[in-house]
Amino acid sequence: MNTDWNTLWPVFTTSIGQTLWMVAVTMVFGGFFGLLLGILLYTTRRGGLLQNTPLYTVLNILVNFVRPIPFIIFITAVGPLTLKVVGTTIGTAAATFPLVVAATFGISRIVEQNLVTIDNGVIEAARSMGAGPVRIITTLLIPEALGPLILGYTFVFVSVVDATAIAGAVGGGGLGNFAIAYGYQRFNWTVTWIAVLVIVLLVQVAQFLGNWLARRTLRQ
Amino acid sequence: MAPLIEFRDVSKTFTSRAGTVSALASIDLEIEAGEIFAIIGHSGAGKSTLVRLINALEGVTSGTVTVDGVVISEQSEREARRIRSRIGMIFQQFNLFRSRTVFGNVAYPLKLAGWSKERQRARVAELLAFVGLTDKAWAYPDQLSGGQKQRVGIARALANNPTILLADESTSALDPETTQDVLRLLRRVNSELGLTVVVVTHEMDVVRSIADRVAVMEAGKVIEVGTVFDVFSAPRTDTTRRFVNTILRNRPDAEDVARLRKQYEGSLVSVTVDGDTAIGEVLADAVRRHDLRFEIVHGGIDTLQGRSFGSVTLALSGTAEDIEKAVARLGAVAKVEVLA
Repeated sequence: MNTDWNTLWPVFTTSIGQTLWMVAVTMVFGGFFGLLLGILLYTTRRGGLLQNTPLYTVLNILVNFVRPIPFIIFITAVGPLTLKVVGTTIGTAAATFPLVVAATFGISRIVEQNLVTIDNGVIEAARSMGAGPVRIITTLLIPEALGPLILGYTFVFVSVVDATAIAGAVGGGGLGNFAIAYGYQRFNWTVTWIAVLVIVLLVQVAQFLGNWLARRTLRQ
Repeated sequence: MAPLIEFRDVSKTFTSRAGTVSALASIDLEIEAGEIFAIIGHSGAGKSTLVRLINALEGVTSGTVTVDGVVISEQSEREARRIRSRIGMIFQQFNLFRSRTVFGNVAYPLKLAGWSKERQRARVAELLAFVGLTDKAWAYPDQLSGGQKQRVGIARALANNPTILLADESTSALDPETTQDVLRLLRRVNSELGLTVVVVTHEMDVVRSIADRVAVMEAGKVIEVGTVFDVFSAPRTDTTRRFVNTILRNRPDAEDVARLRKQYEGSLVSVTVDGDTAIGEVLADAVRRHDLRFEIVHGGIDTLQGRSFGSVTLALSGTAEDIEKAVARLGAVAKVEVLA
Protein backbone atom coordinates (compact mmCIF):
# COMPACT_ATOMS: atom_id res chain seq x y z
CA MET A 1 0.00 0.00 0.00
CA ASN A 2 1.25 3.46 -0.87
CA THR A 3 1.70 6.00 1.80
CA ASP A 4 1.17 9.59 0.72
CA TRP A 5 3.96 11.28 2.69
CA ASN A 6 3.30 14.63 1.04
CA THR A 7 0.07 14.97 2.99
CA LEU A 8 1.15 12.95 6.01
CA TRP A 9 4.44 14.71 6.69
CA PRO A 10 2.95 17.97 8.10
CA VAL A 11 0.60 15.96 10.31
CA PHE A 12 3.51 13.81 11.46
CA THR A 13 5.76 16.73 12.44
CA THR A 14 2.87 18.49 14.17
CA SER A 15 2.22 15.29 16.12
CA ILE A 16 5.84 15.09 17.22
CA GLY A 17 5.65 18.72 18.30
CA GLN A 18 2.45 18.08 20.25
CA THR A 19 3.91 15.08 22.05
CA LEU A 20 7.09 16.96 22.93
CA TRP A 21 5.08 19.91 24.16
CA MET A 22 2.74 17.81 26.31
CA VAL A 23 5.64 15.82 27.78
CA ALA A 24 7.71 18.94 28.46
CA VAL A 25 4.90 20.87 30.15
CA THR A 26 3.89 17.82 32.16
CA MET A 27 7.43 17.12 33.31
CA VAL A 28 8.07 20.75 34.29
CA PHE A 29 4.81 21.45 36.12
CA GLY A 30 4.00 17.92 37.26
CA GLY A 31 7.63 17.56 38.27
CA PHE A 32 7.57 20.74 40.33
CA PHE A 33 4.21 20.19 42.03
CA GLY A 34 4.99 16.50 42.49
CA LEU A 35 8.23 17.45 44.22
CA LEU A 36 6.36 19.79 46.56
CA LEU A 37 3.65 17.24 47.30
CA GLY A 38 6.23 14.50 47.82
CA ILE A 39 8.23 16.65 50.24
CA LEU A 40 4.99 17.47 52.07
CA LEU A 41 4.11 13.77 52.33
CA TYR A 42 7.60 12.98 53.63
CA THR A 43 7.88 15.80 56.14
CA THR A 44 4.38 15.64 57.61
CA ARG A 45 4.49 11.90 58.28
CA ARG A 46 4.98 10.58 61.80
CA GLY A 47 8.43 11.51 63.07
CA GLY A 48 8.95 13.85 60.11
CA LEU A 49 10.47 17.33 60.19
CA LEU A 50 7.06 19.02 60.07
CA GLN A 51 5.03 16.20 61.59
CA ASN A 52 1.34 16.93 61.04
CA THR A 53 -0.77 13.80 61.19
CA PRO A 54 -4.10 15.30 60.00
CA LEU A 55 -2.47 16.92 56.95
CA TYR A 56 -0.53 13.76 56.17
CA THR A 57 -3.67 11.63 56.40
CA VAL A 58 -5.58 13.90 54.03
CA LEU A 59 -2.74 14.05 51.49
CA ASN A 60 -2.10 10.34 51.73
CA ILE A 61 -5.73 9.46 51.05
CA LEU A 62 -5.94 12.01 48.23
CA VAL A 63 -2.88 10.56 46.49
CA ASN A 64 -4.14 7.02 46.96
CA PHE A 65 -7.50 8.08 45.54
CA VAL A 66 -6.16 9.71 42.38
CA ARG A 67 -3.30 7.38 41.46
CA PRO A 68 -5.18 4.19 40.57
CA ILE A 69 -7.64 5.91 38.21
CA PRO A 70 -6.83 4.79 34.64
CA PHE A 71 -5.71 7.85 32.67
CA ILE A 72 -8.29 7.40 29.90
CA ILE A 73 -10.99 7.72 32.57
CA PHE A 74 -9.17 10.40 34.55
CA ILE A 75 -8.84 12.67 31.49
CA THR A 76 -12.62 12.70 31.02
CA ALA A 77 -13.48 12.68 34.75
CA VAL A 78 -11.60 15.94 35.41
CA GLY A 79 -13.29 17.55 32.38
CA PRO A 80 -15.22 20.16 34.42
CA LEU A 81 -12.01 21.21 36.17
CA THR A 82 -10.11 21.32 32.88
CA LEU A 83 -12.84 23.57 31.47
CA LYS A 84 -12.39 25.98 34.40
CA VAL A 85 -8.59 26.06 34.21
CA VAL A 86 -7.88 25.81 30.49
CA GLY A 87 -11.20 27.12 29.13
CA THR A 88 -11.83 24.14 26.89
CA THR A 89 -11.96 20.36 27.14
CA ILE A 90 -10.68 19.76 23.62
CA GLY A 91 -7.17 20.09 22.23
CA THR A 92 -3.56 19.72 23.29
CA ALA A 93 -3.76 22.19 26.20
CA ALA A 94 -6.90 20.48 27.48
CA ALA A 95 -5.09 17.16 27.43
CA THR A 96 -2.04 18.59 29.16
CA PHE A 97 -3.92 19.75 32.25
CA PRO A 98 -5.00 16.24 33.37
CA LEU A 99 -1.52 15.02 32.44
CA VAL A 100 0.03 17.54 34.84
CA VAL A 101 -2.42 16.62 37.61
CA ALA A 102 -1.90 12.88 37.22
CA ALA A 103 1.88 13.33 37.00
CA THR A 104 1.89 15.46 40.15
CA PHE A 105 0.30 12.66 42.15
CA GLY A 106 2.44 9.96 40.59
CA ILE A 107 5.67 11.87 41.09
CA SER A 108 4.79 12.75 44.69
CA ARG A 109 4.98 9.07 45.66
CA ILE A 110 8.28 8.61 43.88
CA VAL A 111 9.73 11.66 45.63
CA GLU A 112 8.40 10.47 48.99
CA GLN A 113 9.86 6.99 48.50
CA ASN A 114 13.29 8.34 47.64
CA LEU A 115 13.35 10.75 50.57
CA VAL A 116 12.42 7.98 52.99
CA THR A 117 15.69 6.22 52.18
CA ILE A 118 17.73 9.13 53.58
CA ASP A 119 19.31 8.19 56.89
CA ASN A 120 17.68 10.00 59.81
CA GLY A 121 21.12 10.46 61.35
CA VAL A 122 22.08 12.83 58.55
CA ILE A 123 19.03 14.95 59.28
CA GLU A 124 19.85 14.91 62.97
CA ALA A 125 23.40 16.04 62.17
CA ALA A 126 22.03 19.02 60.24
CA ARG A 127 19.66 19.82 63.09
CA SER A 128 22.55 19.69 65.54
CA MET A 129 24.22 22.43 63.49
CA GLY A 130 21.18 24.64 63.87
CA ALA A 131 19.54 24.03 60.49
CA GLY A 132 15.78 24.62 60.28
CA PRO A 133 13.32 22.46 58.30
CA VAL A 134 13.38 24.57 55.13
CA ARG A 135 17.18 24.62 55.01
CA ILE A 136 17.29 20.89 55.62
CA ILE A 137 14.85 20.25 52.75
CA THR A 138 16.60 22.46 50.23
CA THR A 139 20.25 22.00 51.12
CA LEU A 140 20.25 18.45 52.41
CA LEU A 141 17.28 16.24 51.52
CA ILE A 142 17.16 17.05 47.81
CA PRO A 143 20.93 16.89 47.21
CA GLU A 144 21.21 13.64 49.19
CA ALA A 145 18.40 11.98 47.20
CA LEU A 146 19.23 13.59 43.84
CA GLY A 147 20.59 10.50 42.08
CA PRO A 148 17.56 8.28 42.81
CA LEU A 149 15.25 11.26 42.16
CA ILE A 150 16.66 11.66 38.65
CA LEU A 151 16.09 7.96 37.98
CA GLY A 152 12.56 8.30 39.39
CA TYR A 153 11.80 11.24 37.10
CA THR A 154 13.21 9.32 34.13
CA PHE A 155 10.84 6.48 34.96
CA VAL A 156 7.95 8.93 35.12
CA PHE A 157 8.99 10.41 31.76
CA VAL A 158 8.30 7.08 30.07
CA SER A 159 4.88 6.86 31.74
CA VAL A 160 4.08 10.40 30.63
CA VAL A 161 4.98 9.60 27.00
CA ASP A 162 2.68 6.58 27.36
CA ALA A 163 -0.12 8.73 28.76
CA THR A 164 0.15 11.34 25.97
CA ALA A 165 -1.02 8.64 23.52
CA ILE A 166 -4.39 8.86 25.26
CA ALA A 167 -4.54 12.61 24.67
CA GLY A 168 -5.91 11.79 21.24
CA ALA A 169 -9.15 10.81 22.96
CA VAL A 170 -9.85 14.47 23.70
CA GLY A 171 -8.38 15.81 20.48
CA GLY A 172 -4.99 16.46 21.99
CA GLY A 173 -3.11 15.04 19.04
CA GLY A 174 0.39 13.75 19.47
CA LEU A 175 2.24 10.70 18.16
CA GLY A 176 -0.09 8.19 19.82
CA ASN A 177 -3.06 9.71 18.12
CA PHE A 178 -1.12 9.84 14.84
CA ALA A 179 -0.37 6.13 15.05
CA ILE A 180 -4.00 5.26 15.71
CA ALA A 181 -5.72 7.68 13.34
CA TYR A 182 -3.35 7.42 10.38
CA GLY A 183 -1.90 3.96 10.99
CA TYR A 184 -4.21 1.58 12.80
CA GLN A 185 -7.53 2.93 11.54
CA ARG A 186 -6.28 3.07 7.92
CA PHE A 187 -4.60 -0.33 8.12
CA ASN A 188 -1.29 1.36 7.39
CA TRP A 189 1.32 -0.55 9.36
CA THR A 190 4.17 1.59 8.03
CA VAL A 191 2.71 4.72 9.63
CA THR A 192 2.02 2.89 12.89
CA TRP A 193 5.57 1.60 13.08
CA ILE A 194 7.15 4.92 12.20
CA ALA A 195 5.22 6.53 15.04
CA VAL A 196 6.24 3.72 17.36
CA LEU A 197 9.86 4.14 16.28
CA VAL A 198 9.83 7.86 17.12
CA ILE A 199 8.28 7.17 20.53
CA VAL A 200 10.87 4.47 21.27
CA LEU A 201 13.64 6.84 20.19
CA LEU A 202 12.28 9.58 22.46
CA VAL A 203 12.14 7.21 25.43
CA GLN A 204 15.63 5.86 24.70
CA VAL A 205 17.15 9.33 24.59
CA ALA A 206 15.39 10.28 27.85
CA GLN A 207 16.46 7.07 29.58
CA PHE A 208 20.04 7.52 28.40
CA LEU A 209 20.14 11.12 29.62
CA GLY A 210 18.54 10.20 32.93
CA ASN A 211 20.99 7.36 33.55
CA TRP A 212 23.92 9.53 32.62
CA LEU A 213 22.83 12.36 34.93
CA ALA A 214 22.08 9.98 37.80
CA ARG A 215 25.46 8.30 37.40
CA ARG A 216 27.16 11.65 37.50
CA THR A 217 25.42 12.62 40.73
CA LEU A 218 26.00 9.21 42.28
CA ARG A 219 29.60 9.18 40.99
CA GLN A 220 29.58 5.45 40.34
CA MET B 1 31.73 29.08 89.41
CA ALA B 2 28.51 27.66 88.07
CA PRO B 3 28.83 24.47 86.05
CA LEU B 4 28.74 24.83 82.25
CA ILE B 5 26.00 22.23 81.87
CA GLU B 6 23.49 21.56 84.59
CA PHE B 7 20.62 19.05 84.78
CA ARG B 8 18.08 19.72 87.52
CA ASP B 9 15.55 17.00 88.28
CA VAL B 10 15.24 16.13 84.60
CA SER B 11 12.76 13.50 83.48
CA LYS B 12 11.90 12.42 79.98
CA THR B 13 9.18 10.07 78.80
CA PHE B 14 8.44 8.95 75.28
CA THR B 15 4.83 8.44 74.28
CA SER B 16 4.01 6.14 71.42
CA ARG B 17 1.09 3.99 70.36
CA ALA B 18 2.51 1.22 72.52
CA GLY B 19 2.30 3.42 75.61
CA THR B 20 4.57 5.61 77.70
CA VAL B 21 8.20 4.74 78.26
CA SER B 22 10.31 6.50 80.85
CA ALA B 23 13.71 7.24 79.32
CA LEU B 24 15.17 9.44 82.04
CA ALA B 25 14.09 9.81 85.67
CA SER B 26 15.05 12.67 88.01
CA ILE B 27 18.52 13.33 86.66
CA ASP B 28 20.72 15.76 88.57
CA LEU B 29 24.09 16.28 86.96
CA GLU B 30 26.70 18.98 86.62
CA ILE B 31 29.37 19.18 83.95
CA GLU B 32 32.16 21.68 84.50
CA ALA B 33 33.68 23.90 81.84
CA GLY B 34 36.87 22.49 80.34
CA GLU B 35 36.49 18.89 81.43
CA ILE B 36 36.05 15.68 79.47
CA PHE B 37 32.95 14.15 80.95
CA ALA B 38 31.93 10.60 80.10
CA ILE B 39 28.48 9.11 80.36
CA ILE B 40 28.63 5.33 80.37
CA GLY B 41 25.82 2.82 80.34
CA HIS B 42 24.45 -0.16 78.49
CA SER B 43 22.28 0.42 75.43
CA GLY B 44 18.86 1.64 76.48
CA ALA B 45 20.18 3.21 79.70
CA GLY B 46 19.16 6.65 78.41
CA LYS B 47 22.60 8.12 77.80
CA SER B 48 21.99 9.12 74.17
CA THR B 49 18.73 10.78 75.18
CA LEU B 50 20.50 12.60 77.99
CA VAL B 51 23.16 14.05 75.70
CA ARG B 52 20.49 15.21 73.22
CA LEU B 53 18.93 17.37 75.93
CA ILE B 54 22.10 19.46 76.04
CA ASN B 55 21.54 20.79 72.51
CA ALA B 56 17.75 20.44 72.70
CA LEU B 57 17.52 17.87 69.92
CA GLU B 58 15.15 16.32 72.43
CA GLY B 59 12.96 18.22 74.88
CA VAL B 60 12.55 17.46 78.56
CA THR B 61 9.28 16.23 80.07
CA SER B 62 10.08 17.96 83.36
CA GLY B 63 13.03 19.65 85.01
CA THR B 64 15.56 22.04 83.49
CA VAL B 65 18.74 21.81 81.46
CA THR B 66 20.99 24.85 81.70
CA VAL B 67 23.86 25.40 79.29
CA ASP B 68 26.21 28.31 79.92
CA GLY B 69 23.60 30.14 82.00
CA VAL B 70 20.76 29.68 79.51
CA VAL B 71 17.91 27.31 80.31
CA ILE B 72 17.98 25.59 76.92
CA SER B 73 15.10 23.28 77.82
CA GLU B 74 12.76 26.28 77.90
CA GLN B 75 13.83 28.01 74.68
CA SER B 76 11.73 28.30 71.55
CA GLU B 77 12.80 26.08 68.64
CA ARG B 78 14.16 29.15 66.84
CA GLU B 79 16.29 30.18 69.82
CA ALA B 80 17.38 26.59 70.41
CA ARG B 81 18.60 26.46 66.81
CA ARG B 82 20.80 29.47 67.42
CA ILE B 83 22.30 27.92 70.56
CA ARG B 84 22.69 24.54 68.84
CA SER B 85 24.92 26.06 66.17
CA ARG B 86 27.46 26.71 68.94
CA ILE B 87 27.43 23.16 70.28
CA GLY B 88 29.26 20.62 68.14
CA MET B 89 28.07 17.04 67.89
CA ILE B 90 29.56 13.86 66.45
CA PHE B 91 27.86 10.51 65.95
CA GLN B 92 28.45 6.77 65.94
CA GLN B 93 27.61 6.46 62.24
CA PHE B 94 29.41 9.76 61.45
CA ASN B 95 26.32 11.09 59.63
CA LEU B 96 28.29 12.77 56.88
CA PHE B 97 26.46 14.17 53.86
CA ARG B 98 27.20 11.72 51.02
CA SER B 99 26.32 14.27 48.36
CA ARG B 100 29.02 16.66 49.55
CA THR B 101 32.79 16.46 49.54
CA VAL B 102 34.82 16.58 52.75
CA PHE B 103 35.15 20.31 52.13
CA GLY B 104 31.39 20.65 51.58
CA ASN B 105 30.63 18.75 54.77
CA VAL B 106 32.91 20.89 56.92
CA ALA B 107 31.70 24.09 55.24
CA TYR B 108 28.00 23.20 55.73
CA PRO B 109 27.58 24.68 59.23
CA LEU B 110 29.47 27.78 58.10
CA LYS B 111 27.11 28.13 55.15
CA LEU B 112 24.18 27.87 57.55
CA ALA B 113 25.72 30.60 59.68
CA GLY B 114 26.09 32.83 56.62
CA TRP B 115 29.88 33.00 56.39
CA SER B 116 31.35 34.44 53.18
CA LYS B 117 32.84 31.96 50.69
CA GLU B 118 36.32 33.29 51.37
CA ARG B 119 36.11 32.94 55.16
CA GLN B 120 34.57 29.48 54.72
CA ARG B 121 37.55 28.38 52.63
CA ALA B 122 40.07 29.65 55.15
CA ARG B 123 38.24 28.09 58.10
CA VAL B 124 37.79 24.71 56.40
CA ALA B 125 41.51 24.63 55.50
CA GLU B 126 42.35 25.36 59.12
CA LEU B 127 40.02 22.62 60.40
CA LEU B 128 41.23 19.99 57.92
CA ALA B 129 44.80 20.74 58.95
CA PHE B 130 43.81 20.30 62.60
CA VAL B 131 42.30 16.84 61.98
CA GLY B 132 45.04 15.90 59.48
CA LEU B 133 42.88 15.53 56.36
CA THR B 134 44.07 18.42 54.20
CA ASP B 135 44.70 16.09 51.26
CA LYS B 136 41.17 14.67 51.41
CA ALA B 137 39.32 17.96 50.96
CA TRP B 138 37.83 16.96 47.60
CA ALA B 139 37.12 13.32 48.44
CA TYR B 140 33.57 12.13 49.04
CA PRO B 141 32.66 10.39 52.33
CA ASP B 142 32.25 7.05 50.55
CA GLN B 143 35.93 7.15 49.66
CA LEU B 144 37.08 7.48 53.29
CA SER B 145 37.82 4.95 56.01
CA GLY B 146 35.81 4.96 59.26
CA GLY B 147 38.51 6.83 61.16
CA GLN B 148 38.78 9.45 58.43
CA LYS B 149 35.01 9.87 58.38
CA GLN B 150 34.95 10.57 62.10
CA ARG B 151 37.78 13.10 61.67
CA VAL B 152 35.62 14.88 59.10
CA GLY B 153 32.74 14.67 61.59
CA ILE B 154 34.92 16.30 64.23
CA ALA B 155 36.12 19.03 61.85
CA ARG B 156 32.50 19.74 60.88
CA ALA B 157 31.43 19.85 64.53
CA LEU B 158 34.23 22.30 65.35
CA ALA B 159 33.59 24.60 62.38
CA ASN B 160 31.49 27.16 64.19
CA ASN B 161 33.90 27.54 67.12
CA PRO B 162 31.69 25.77 69.66
CA THR B 163 32.49 25.70 73.36
CA ILE B 164 31.00 22.24 73.83
CA LEU B 165 31.49 19.04 71.83
CA LEU B 166 29.01 16.19 72.26
CA ALA B 167 30.29 12.79 71.19
CA ASP B 168 27.57 10.17 70.92
CA GLU B 169 29.24 6.71 70.76
CA SER B 170 31.72 8.37 68.45
CA THR B 171 34.16 5.45 68.44
CA SER B 172 31.76 2.52 68.70
CA ALA B 173 31.90 1.80 64.97
CA LEU B 174 35.71 1.89 64.84
CA ASP B 175 38.41 -0.72 65.39
CA PRO B 176 40.56 -0.42 68.55
CA GLU B 177 43.49 1.28 66.87
CA THR B 178 41.36 3.86 65.07
CA THR B 179 39.43 4.37 68.30
CA GLN B 180 42.64 5.46 70.01
CA ASP B 181 43.41 7.86 67.11
CA VAL B 182 40.00 9.48 67.41
CA LEU B 183 40.24 9.63 71.22
CA ARG B 184 43.64 11.35 70.93
CA LEU B 185 42.02 13.88 68.61
CA LEU B 186 39.21 14.46 71.11
CA ARG B 187 41.78 15.02 73.83
CA ARG B 188 43.46 17.64 71.63
CA VAL B 189 40.08 19.28 71.07
CA ASN B 190 39.85 19.55 74.84
CA SER B 191 43.42 20.57 75.66
CA GLU B 192 44.37 22.70 72.64
CA LEU B 193 41.04 24.30 71.81
CA GLY B 194 39.62 24.30 75.33
CA LEU B 195 36.29 22.69 74.53
CA THR B 196 34.24 20.92 77.13
CA VAL B 197 33.72 17.41 75.76
CA VAL B 198 30.80 15.19 76.71
CA VAL B 199 31.41 11.59 75.66
CA VAL B 200 28.62 9.03 75.58
CA THR B 201 29.86 5.46 75.42
CA HIS B 202 29.32 1.88 76.46
CA GLU B 203 33.05 1.17 76.36
CA MET B 204 34.94 1.49 79.63
CA ASP B 205 38.17 1.76 77.66
CA VAL B 206 37.01 5.06 76.20
CA VAL B 207 36.29 6.38 79.68
CA ARG B 208 39.70 5.29 80.94
CA SER B 209 41.50 6.77 77.94
CA ILE B 210 40.18 10.31 77.99
CA ALA B 211 37.62 11.16 80.67
CA ASP B 212 38.21 13.29 83.74
CA ARG B 213 34.90 12.47 85.33
CA VAL B 214 32.29 9.85 84.60
CA ALA B 215 28.60 9.28 85.23
CA VAL B 216 27.30 5.71 85.18
CA MET B 217 23.73 5.32 83.93
CA GLU B 218 21.28 2.51 84.33
CA ALA B 219 17.58 2.37 83.47
CA GLY B 220 17.28 6.13 82.98
CA LYS B 221 19.08 7.07 86.18
CA VAL B 222 22.56 8.28 87.04
CA ILE B 223 23.68 5.69 89.57
CA GLU B 224 27.23 6.88 90.15
CA VAL B 225 29.22 9.99 89.34
CA GLY B 226 32.73 11.13 90.19
CA THR B 227 36.31 11.27 88.96
CA VAL B 228 37.27 8.31 86.83
CA PHE B 229 39.78 7.25 89.49
CA ASP B 230 37.26 7.35 92.33
CA VAL B 231 34.55 5.54 90.42
CA PHE B 232 36.94 2.89 89.07
CA SER B 233 38.80 2.30 92.29
CA ALA B 234 35.76 2.12 94.52
CA PRO B 235 32.68 1.17 92.48
CA ARG B 236 29.58 1.31 94.64
CA THR B 237 27.12 -0.54 92.41
CA ASP B 238 27.15 -3.89 90.65
CA THR B 239 26.72 -2.25 87.26
CA THR B 240 29.77 -0.07 87.78
CA ARG B 241 31.73 -3.02 89.11
CA ARG B 242 30.89 -4.97 85.98
CA PHE B 243 31.98 -2.05 83.80
CA VAL B 244 35.24 -1.77 85.71
CA ASN B 245 35.80 -5.50 85.31
CA THR B 246 35.59 -5.18 81.54
CA ILE B 247 38.94 -3.42 81.55
CA LEU B 248 40.54 -4.11 84.93
CA ARG B 249 40.43 -7.85 85.35
CA ASN B 250 42.67 -7.82 88.37
CA ARG B 251 40.30 -9.21 90.98
CA PRO B 252 39.71 -12.95 90.90
CA ASP B 253 36.07 -13.95 90.47
CA ALA B 254 34.52 -16.93 92.29
CA GLU B 255 35.76 -19.37 89.65
CA ASP B 256 39.31 -18.02 89.84
CA VAL B 257 39.26 -18.26 93.65
CA ALA B 258 38.14 -21.91 93.55
CA ARG B 259 40.96 -22.78 91.16
CA LEU B 260 43.56 -20.85 93.20
CA ARG B 261 42.46 -22.54 96.39
CA LYS B 262 43.08 -25.94 94.85
CA GLN B 263 46.46 -24.87 93.56
CA TYR B 264 47.90 -23.05 96.58
CA GLU B 265 48.07 -23.71 100.31
CA GLY B 266 47.52 -21.01 102.87
CA SER B 267 45.34 -17.92 102.82
CA LEU B 268 44.33 -16.02 99.72
CA VAL B 269 44.49 -12.28 100.26
CA SER B 270 43.57 -9.53 97.78
CA VAL B 271 45.38 -6.25 98.27
CA THR B 272 44.14 -3.11 96.52
CA VAL B 273 46.99 -1.00 95.27
CA ASP B 274 46.34 2.66 94.65
CA GLY B 275 48.61 5.64 94.26
CA ASP B 276 51.77 5.13 96.25
CA THR B 277 50.91 2.08 98.29
CA ALA B 278 54.12 0.16 99.07
CA ILE B 279 53.12 -3.43 99.78
CA GLY B 280 56.44 -4.87 98.57
CA GLU B 281 58.26 -3.45 101.52
CA VAL B 282 55.68 -4.77 103.97
CA LEU B 283 55.86 -8.24 102.42
CA ALA B 284 59.67 -8.28 102.39
CA ASP B 285 59.67 -7.29 106.03
CA ALA B 286 57.17 -10.02 106.94
CA VAL B 287 59.29 -12.62 105.18
CA ARG B 288 62.42 -11.42 106.99
CA ARG B 289 60.93 -11.32 110.47
CA HIS B 290 58.57 -14.29 110.39
CA ASP B 291 58.59 -17.61 108.72
CA LEU B 292 56.15 -16.43 106.07
CA ARG B 293 56.14 -17.27 102.40
CA PHE B 294 54.04 -15.66 99.74
CA GLU B 295 53.23 -16.12 96.09
CA ILE B 296 51.60 -13.57 93.76
CA VAL B 297 48.79 -15.55 92.14
CA HIS B 298 46.50 -13.07 90.41
CA GLY B 299 46.12 -9.41 89.62
CA GLY B 300 47.56 -6.44 87.83
CA ILE B 301 48.41 -2.79 88.27
CA ASP B 302 47.28 -0.18 85.76
CA THR B 303 47.58 3.55 85.40
CA LEU B 304 44.44 5.63 85.76
CA GLN B 305 44.51 9.41 85.40
CA GLY B 306 48.25 9.30 86.11
CA ARG B 307 47.92 7.23 89.27
CA SER B 308 48.77 3.57 89.82
CA PHE B 309 45.76 1.50 90.46
CA GLY B 310 44.99 -2.18 90.67
CA SER B 311 44.91 -5.22 92.86
CA VAL B 312 47.12 -8.23 93.52
CA THR B 313 46.05 -11.48 95.13
CA LEU B 314 48.61 -13.26 97.28
CA ALA B 315 48.75 -16.78 98.62
CA LEU B 316 50.28 -16.48 102.10
CA SER B 317 51.58 -19.58 103.87
CA GLY B 318 53.00 -19.93 107.36
CA THR B 319 51.59 -20.18 110.85
CA ALA B 320 48.12 -18.75 111.41
CA GLU B 321 49.62 -16.21 113.78
CA ASP B 322 52.23 -14.99 111.30
CA ILE B 323 49.66 -14.73 108.52
CA GLU B 324 47.40 -12.70 110.78
CA LYS B 325 50.24 -10.34 111.66
CA ALA B 326 51.21 -9.88 108.03
CA VAL B 327 47.60 -9.20 107.03
CA ALA B 328 47.29 -6.62 109.77
CA ARG B 329 50.45 -4.83 108.62
CA LEU B 330 49.30 -4.89 104.98
CA GLY B 331 45.98 -3.55 106.17
CA ALA B 332 47.76 -0.55 107.61
CA VAL B 333 49.04 0.54 104.17
CA ALA B 334 46.39 -0.80 101.81
CA LYS B 335 42.88 -2.16 101.54
CA VAL B 336 43.09 -5.88 102.23
CA GLU B 337 40.46 -8.50 101.72
CA VAL B 338 40.90 -12.08 102.92
CA LEU B 339 39.14 -14.22 100.34
CA ALA B 340 36.74 -16.68 101.86
